[in-house]
Amino acid sequence: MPSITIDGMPVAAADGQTVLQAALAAGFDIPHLCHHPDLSPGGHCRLCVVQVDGGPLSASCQLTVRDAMSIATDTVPVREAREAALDLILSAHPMTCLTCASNHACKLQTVAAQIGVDEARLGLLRPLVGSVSKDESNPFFIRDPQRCVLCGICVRTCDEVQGRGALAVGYSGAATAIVAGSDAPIAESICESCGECVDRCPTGALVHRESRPPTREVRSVCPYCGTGCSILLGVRGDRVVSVRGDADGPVNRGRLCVKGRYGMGFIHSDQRLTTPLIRRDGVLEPATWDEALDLVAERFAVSRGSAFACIGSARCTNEEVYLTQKFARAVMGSNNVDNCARLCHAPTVAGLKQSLGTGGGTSPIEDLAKAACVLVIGSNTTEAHPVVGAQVRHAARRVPLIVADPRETDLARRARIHLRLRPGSDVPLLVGMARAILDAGLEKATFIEERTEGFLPFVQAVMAMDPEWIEETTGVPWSDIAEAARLYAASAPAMIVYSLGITEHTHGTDNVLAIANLALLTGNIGRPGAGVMPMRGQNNVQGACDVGCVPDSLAGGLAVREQAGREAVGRRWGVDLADTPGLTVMEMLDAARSGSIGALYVTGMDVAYSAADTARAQEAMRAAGFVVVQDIFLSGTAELADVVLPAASFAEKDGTFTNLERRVQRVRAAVPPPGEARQDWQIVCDIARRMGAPGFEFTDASQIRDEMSEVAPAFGGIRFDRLEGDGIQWPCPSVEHPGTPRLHVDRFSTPNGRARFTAPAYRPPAEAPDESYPLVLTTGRSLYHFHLAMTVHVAGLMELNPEELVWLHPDDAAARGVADGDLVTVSSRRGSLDLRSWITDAVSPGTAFMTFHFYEAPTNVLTQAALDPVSKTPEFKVTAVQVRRAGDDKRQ
Amino acid sequence: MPALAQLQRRHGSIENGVIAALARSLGLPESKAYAAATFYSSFALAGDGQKVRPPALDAALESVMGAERAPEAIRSWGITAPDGRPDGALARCGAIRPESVDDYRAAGGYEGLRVALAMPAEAVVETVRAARLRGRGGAGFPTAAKWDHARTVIAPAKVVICNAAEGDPGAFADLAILRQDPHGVLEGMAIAAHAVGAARGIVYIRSEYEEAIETVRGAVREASDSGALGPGFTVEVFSGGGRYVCGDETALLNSMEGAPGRPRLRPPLPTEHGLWGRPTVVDNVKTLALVPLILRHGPEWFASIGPAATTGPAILAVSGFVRRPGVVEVPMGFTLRQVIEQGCGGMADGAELKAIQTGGPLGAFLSADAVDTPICFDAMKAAGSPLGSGGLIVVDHRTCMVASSRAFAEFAAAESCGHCAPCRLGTRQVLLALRNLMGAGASGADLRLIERMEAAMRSSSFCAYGRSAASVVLSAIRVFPDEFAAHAVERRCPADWCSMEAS
Repeated sequence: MPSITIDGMPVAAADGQTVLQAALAAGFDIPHLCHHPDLSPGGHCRLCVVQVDGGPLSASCQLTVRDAMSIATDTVPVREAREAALDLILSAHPMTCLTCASNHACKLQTVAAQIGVDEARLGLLRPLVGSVSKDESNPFFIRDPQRCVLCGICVRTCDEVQGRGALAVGYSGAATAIVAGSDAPIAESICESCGECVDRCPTGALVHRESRPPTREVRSVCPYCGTGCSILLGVRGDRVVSVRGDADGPVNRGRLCVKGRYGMGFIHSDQRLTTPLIRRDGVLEPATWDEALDLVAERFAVSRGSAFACIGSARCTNEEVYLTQKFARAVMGSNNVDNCARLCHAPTVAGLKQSLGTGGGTSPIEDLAKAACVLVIGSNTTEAHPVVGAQVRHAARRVPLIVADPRETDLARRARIHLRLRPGSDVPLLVGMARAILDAGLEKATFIEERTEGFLPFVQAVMAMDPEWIEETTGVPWSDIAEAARLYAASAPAMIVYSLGITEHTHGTDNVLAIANLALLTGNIGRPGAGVMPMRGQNNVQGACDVGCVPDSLAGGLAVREQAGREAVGRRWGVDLADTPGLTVMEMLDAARSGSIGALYVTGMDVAYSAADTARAQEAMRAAGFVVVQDIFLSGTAELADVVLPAASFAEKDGTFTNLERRVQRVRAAVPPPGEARQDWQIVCDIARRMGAPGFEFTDASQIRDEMSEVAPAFGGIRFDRLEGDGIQWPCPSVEHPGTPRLHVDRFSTPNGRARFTAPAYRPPAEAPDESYPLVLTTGRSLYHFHLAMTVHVAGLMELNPEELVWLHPDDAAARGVADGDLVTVSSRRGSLDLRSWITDAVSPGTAFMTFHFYEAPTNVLTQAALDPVSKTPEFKVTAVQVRRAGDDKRQ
Repeated sequence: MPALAQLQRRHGSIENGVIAALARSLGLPESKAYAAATFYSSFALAGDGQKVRPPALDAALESVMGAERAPEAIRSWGITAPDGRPDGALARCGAIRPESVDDYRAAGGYEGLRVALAMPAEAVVETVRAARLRGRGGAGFPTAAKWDHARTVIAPAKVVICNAAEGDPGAFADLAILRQDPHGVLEGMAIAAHAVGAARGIVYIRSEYEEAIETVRGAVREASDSGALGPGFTVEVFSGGGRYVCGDETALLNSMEGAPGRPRLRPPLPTEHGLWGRPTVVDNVKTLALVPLILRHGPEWFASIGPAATTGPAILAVSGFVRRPGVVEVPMGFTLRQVIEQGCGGMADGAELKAIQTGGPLGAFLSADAVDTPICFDAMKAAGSPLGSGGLIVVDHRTCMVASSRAFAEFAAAESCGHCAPCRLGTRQVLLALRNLMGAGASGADLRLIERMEAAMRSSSFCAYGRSAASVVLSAIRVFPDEFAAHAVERRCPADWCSMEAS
């Protein structure tokens, strides 16, 4: 460790540190504008100059420490240089601090105070303030080039933190300016509105539109995707007015995406539900809680057992979801309890449990930085999990990135190899990779020998699929498959990131098994930088499954069929629990359609629009005897309910969310719920107590957490008082246990400790394109939206992405006479939608793409309820459709 | 950059929409392509006239100081080979067909490379070290030290780059060499490549040197076809986008990578982490042209020319008020007077020597009293003005030093890359102060401001350009204080050049 002196005082520095870093760490404040701890040195402002060994000046931000270096931070030459550099910067900066949004948060003010400004001296310089006007094109922040000091922090942030490159330092000399795109309004550029640059801008050149500081901040967890970013909700009065990334957040380290930072407007939307609603004469009308609860208790009481079905919410806290499934099982005597994971990652839970023993992601997100190769398959990580996506982009600058996706996604463009497979041909692709690895002898024999079983049948099945057939089925050249396989197998450790492109198929579980096979074949499980990472969709979808909101298992993954575990839970709850698994979401809808569901209780899920085949789902809602929907908005599903109960949003409740790396983190109430809305766990308790059931006397979410720790061994040590820091990754059996960042390190969690290879089998997608429906429609997320609710209540997000578009390849568009932006009719065997087109070669010929974020064009009108036989997840990703110009005769 | 240049050639200007398409095809964000397009003076963006940089400022210097380029006039004298025949880096200029490998060989060319290839790489470096060759690009850094560093870095692919970004107003020696004897440079590159273990050579030529680019391309073709460059070494020609600062080797590397040509942070040095991260040796045209002579005639011969501190031939570009401006090659150690009187036929008719500007826009003025200073990196520096890359502008008694300074200040401000605050804004403040000194508002405060800005730029700018970007102006104030005082205090231009009127 080099030892240096600063102003005569000895300072211990770290190898490779800059003098500025060493000085700041030791408490010596050196003025600086363009330095930021997250970024590489810029060397732009020159305010941080110091004198080295009594000699010439050097910018301390770009000077690496050497042993015995003597640094002086306040000599006459240093002061003169800083004063002159500051005067120059100020000569080009408007002196209108009090009307600047960054007033008092401005680093230029700080350095000016540190260095000192002499009015007469400054007055000798000619004013060089630019005349370029503000760029107000972005709904969330404003750029003011006049206040820009050209520190380059925004450019480096976009390059190094976000990996986007939306900004650059353009022009030169006195005309030098930060440019977005071709110096266009930033909203027209590739900027993703993550706001990271705004957060780091030292002056008023980039400011959030909401720039007044909050009066208090509350640490919580982002309510959007499953990444689990730590956030600080800024509150003024009783309103959330800002969001900051929590620099100490274990997942995001301060980073946020556009939804996390700017997407909280829904909390205070005037569309929030504020009172219970009861359907009277066909119309939902406001009611009191007593009226609503009495009605619910009365109707639920006559629909116990298999006549009751309950859909828990992956948006709610673990404590609430736990309580919801406890209510279904203990009070209603029904295992018909499920959550939205059924429509997304149920195949992950089934597949990974079968092959590895635990149905969760194997590794922490930070392992992406340790991987020597990353394979992304069926995941548009950039848009669906933006903060993870940025880390994949970061990895791609360092190590080979392989992307398998029918679309040319952002990551595909950065990939060493883009395997542009046909939708639904994942198994052949993954088998092809396995075969290429075996052909090249790149499998990890010792790992296979010592830690797995079922290898030989697996090899036989793999060898039965020959390369020509694989090439033909996937549409990917064998040479690309082989090269991707070689890269993945030869670069250890390697990580696989996947998402709904893998799971939302009739062969979703097969896909997951094929992924696990590939990781096992190459020994890529159980060590840093390796692993299989399913990108879970909803903020708490991992948790919802973990706490037992599924028909076949209880909290902590105890199977309902297993007597010992079931009885232990039953004893704790004081009831006998049913031993047969209940219905899944899609099965519940079918049961409702056939008239066998007397009461359906839906909490926080827009099931009528998010289930495949909307018409069929709506029919089920109407056929159910009595439907209770508990939500924060009057969702499409709530509109079909008999009783609607107003719930609190994440910002109004205490509890925990579990992210996609199994990390349980604290959610904290920042503001009171609007009107009469209540927290979901309170509502469940209210109903249970009204039905006279014991075991729902909670007064605080922590009490529910404590019960969960007793009931589920995997959560034994997870209690609120231990969650103040980085949270805990389960399994965590005791309060002494630190949690488990990485699964399967020494042994797999299967009964015999060995992972299982599964012989692959190929089934084509349920629906093949034909003459009437010649295109394959796939679906996915947009960066600016989540599902249907929430983001549509955030004006800025709607401005950035206002409507559903169907993406068409130029060839397919030309064949139909469709021009970019034309209104078209997209129809499938189930229904049709009118919407505008976007013509792009990001989709392959013969395929089309839509997101699923708008009630005006609800995409699931088109999709089909064909299910994966194991997990019962529908095939959202392959739908045969026809696209025509709207109004054209279908026969043409 | 080549893609932008192609667009520029084809359409005369670059439409904004085209940059987005170009960026997409190159896999670059549009912002980065746009930044490059707006940085280089040779690219004009359609519909964006007011933002485009002004053209190079040779014209201003020419009008004030008569500094006209004369690359065709070449004189080499005072240097003889061991066999007594005249020799030197310019000896063949005008005597052979520039592109012809046969002509070059017949004149003794590629003999140095033959000698080098027969030696181990380390021995080549030691030979250059024994010759005490110092780089002719401006800094005078020992060439062998640079090569040795690149040689000892372990890396699979290394690169040798010939820096022909020659951007000094009043410098044209590189142009002369490239146009008239390009094989000498290619041979030097091949020797450097052997010494450091590079398989790839690139000649980076500023785009304004269109004719030289064609000549060098022709020479490369002939050399490759005839195998003259030795086994496993290929050379290509890169046309730079035309910015003075690209003469800085790290800026040059950025520009070759398609980024704006702003200097990089050092360390790492290019010899360790250069073009696309590969160890890279960047040497000036003149340096490389001298290398074959060292191998051919031996290091002792080379080291015997000139003073111990600066050995070998000096290659100078002389312009201004001399009778015969041109490129002059003399032994290091000759005096400025010898160059002017013997090399250039003395002062032009009616002109009296007032000052000599050396070192280009980062150099200084020497007074007429310093005319007996020997041409040598160290002696010139001691006299107050760097030798730089060998450009000498001879200033006569009728020239206004304030106006001359302003011409340099215009250049300095226009060529500032914009990376750091002192240079980006300091060059502008200096220029505005000088403009003021030429008019009715002239004041002593302008002089104090210039001195303060110069000091700040010198002590804390990011790169060598910024540190010396006001040095010419400061030297003029120091050498001709009375002339500046006449402007500032009496509002009078002794040379009667400045209007001294309200602007």
